[in-house]
Amino acid sequence: MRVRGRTAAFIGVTAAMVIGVAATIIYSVGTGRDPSRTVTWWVPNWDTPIATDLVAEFEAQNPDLSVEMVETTSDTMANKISVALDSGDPPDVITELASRTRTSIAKGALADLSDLYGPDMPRSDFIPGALDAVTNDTGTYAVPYRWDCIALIYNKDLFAAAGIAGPPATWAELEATARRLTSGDVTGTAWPMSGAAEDLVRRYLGFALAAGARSENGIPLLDVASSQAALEIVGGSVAEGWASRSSLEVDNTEVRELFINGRIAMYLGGVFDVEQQLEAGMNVGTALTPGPDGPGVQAADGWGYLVPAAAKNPTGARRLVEFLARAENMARLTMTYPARISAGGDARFHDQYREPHYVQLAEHSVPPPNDPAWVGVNPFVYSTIQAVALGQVTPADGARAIQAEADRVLGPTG
Amino acid sequence: MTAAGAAATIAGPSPAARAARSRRRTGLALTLPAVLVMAGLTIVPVVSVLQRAVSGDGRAAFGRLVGSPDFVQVLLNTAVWTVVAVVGALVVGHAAALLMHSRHLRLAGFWRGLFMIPWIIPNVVGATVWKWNFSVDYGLVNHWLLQAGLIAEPVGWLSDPSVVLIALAVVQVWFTAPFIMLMVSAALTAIPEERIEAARIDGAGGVAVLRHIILPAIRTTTGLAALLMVVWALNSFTIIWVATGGGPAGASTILPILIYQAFQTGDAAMVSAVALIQLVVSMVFAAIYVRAVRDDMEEAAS
Repeated sequence: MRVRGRTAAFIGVTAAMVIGVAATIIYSVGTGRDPSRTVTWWVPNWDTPIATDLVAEFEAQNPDLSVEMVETTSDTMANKISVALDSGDPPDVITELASRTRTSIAKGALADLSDLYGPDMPRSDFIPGALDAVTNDTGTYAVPYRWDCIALIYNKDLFAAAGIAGPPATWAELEATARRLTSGDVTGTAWPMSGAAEDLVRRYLGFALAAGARSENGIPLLDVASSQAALEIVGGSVAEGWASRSSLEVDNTEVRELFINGRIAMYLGGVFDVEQQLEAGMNVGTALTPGPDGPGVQAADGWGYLVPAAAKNPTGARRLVEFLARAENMARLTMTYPARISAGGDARFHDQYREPHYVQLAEHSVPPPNDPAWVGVNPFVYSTIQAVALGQVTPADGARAIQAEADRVLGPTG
Repeated sequence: MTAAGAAATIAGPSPAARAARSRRRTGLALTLPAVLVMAGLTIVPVVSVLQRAVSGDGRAAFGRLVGSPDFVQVLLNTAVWTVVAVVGALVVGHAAALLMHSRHLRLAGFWRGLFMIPWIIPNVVGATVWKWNFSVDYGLVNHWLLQAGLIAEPVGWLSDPSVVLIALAVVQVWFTAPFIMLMVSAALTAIPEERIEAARIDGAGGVAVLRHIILPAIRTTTGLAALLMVVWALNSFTIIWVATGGGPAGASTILPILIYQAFQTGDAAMVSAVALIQLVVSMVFAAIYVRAVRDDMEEAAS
């Protein structure tokens, strides 16, 4: 009898759970969102506060649509977006790094947004290169809204203490200045040699492009001489001691920390870093990236709005993207520079700290090489730069190895 | 049909046979949901990986992998990582368990709880803490060693290719040794105290008791723990990825890191090729593990 009582209790509890789960599912299905009235937007967490305000305005202007925001984070978004696009069950709008879009475009996972460009949003209103990064022969697959590139950030106090009047403008000055600043706990500069491969490779590419390499249709056209010149600076500086050996242990954020803690005197970083350094009370300056004999080149990159080909509400998604891409909204949401020139007039984009980055972006930058095949070469380039920094290979040998790998993967023009 | 045959047909199976058949059906019905879940979550992905690995792209990826100058280095790294991590965890875990079991130790529960902390905290958190501990610029490890006069200048624990893998294996030991301690502690409590007392009365010292009484008595647990550690080490990813990403210059790249690097670049064929190698290596140890568990259960049953 006791056993029966337990059995009855077990069956009762199990039945209650099954009924509860079934009821929840039925309720969710019955009251679930209507895809034609809802737009799901994956937005990076640093954009959330302003994006929330913009969404409220959008919903007020478009009462037939409701926007559901889902936050993404910098360290997980690439995989999350890739998996969502591959799965065929993506959100309606995604904020994604422009340099990562070409892989998705090649897979046919994105909707062509060419028709969004016109009198209200002319292509000529975008910073040169911004649309190239998201365009191929068949169409334009994103609307860039934030565009930026790195430039030189330096510690004015450390420069003054070393008797150096201003930032270096050429490669020779860069090395000489860094050597002069390297003393005690302070080193001239540092590179992000741990962390995301593309961060280090982008710095290498900037120097290679300044030394004669070119970038076409997302593919860098390297040669051994330009590659060697870049490796001598990015890798050789660590081996020779004028860049911090802890470069091999730090990523982008940690390079910034080294700078804030006074362990390095200058580095190549984004304008977003400068705000944090000013908040920390640092006496910083910014300047164009040094080149062989004048301003150097940087690969600019940015963020854009994508609409997946499998979006459930493509019409609503386009309406949201059109709204977000208005010049005034673009200016509000960007933390660096807006991708539309007409949105960049505000004084806050041109103060003494931001102006060098803007000039670098507008006059001395190229679209990021983002062809999927080149992205596949990145780990090899990354590892080779580390090997040069460790003194395991010379810059010349490293350049030849990179060239061989690029030729193998991209063809002889790579 | 013969008369005997007809009689057998009429009689049908015996009640015992019917009961046995019913039990089998019930058993099958009860295991079916678990089998379906296992098929969905394990077998299907494994078959999918195998299918891709033996396809044209997969075979080409094998060619690229084996032809790569880094492949042998990755295999060597994986071997070094596994050996150091497993041996280290076994030695530290056993030593800690013996210490906790000592009658001379006061507040054993407190110390046991303290030793379990690395096991409890998330791998990402622990790996990040150790990344900073090993830092050339700010690391506590270098600070202490410099203070103690054991080193003259900071060591690049994570930036020197000759030490990075060992340094990371130490972190893996830090994470896994508490689990060994827990397993061995349980095994130690099962050793009859009289057996140790008898050995001591016979004149055996501490080392002799350890060697001839304790270690043989916990041999099965040690074996199982070792196999489990090997499988864990072969599948370990978080510590290395968070601390070095497999660098510098591939010095800490092991098979799981190679898989993720291929995943990041969208090289699905390479992911499958490396995963297949990883699967074969892991299966060898998993088979040994399963066999050891089965032998252990049979031994316990007998």
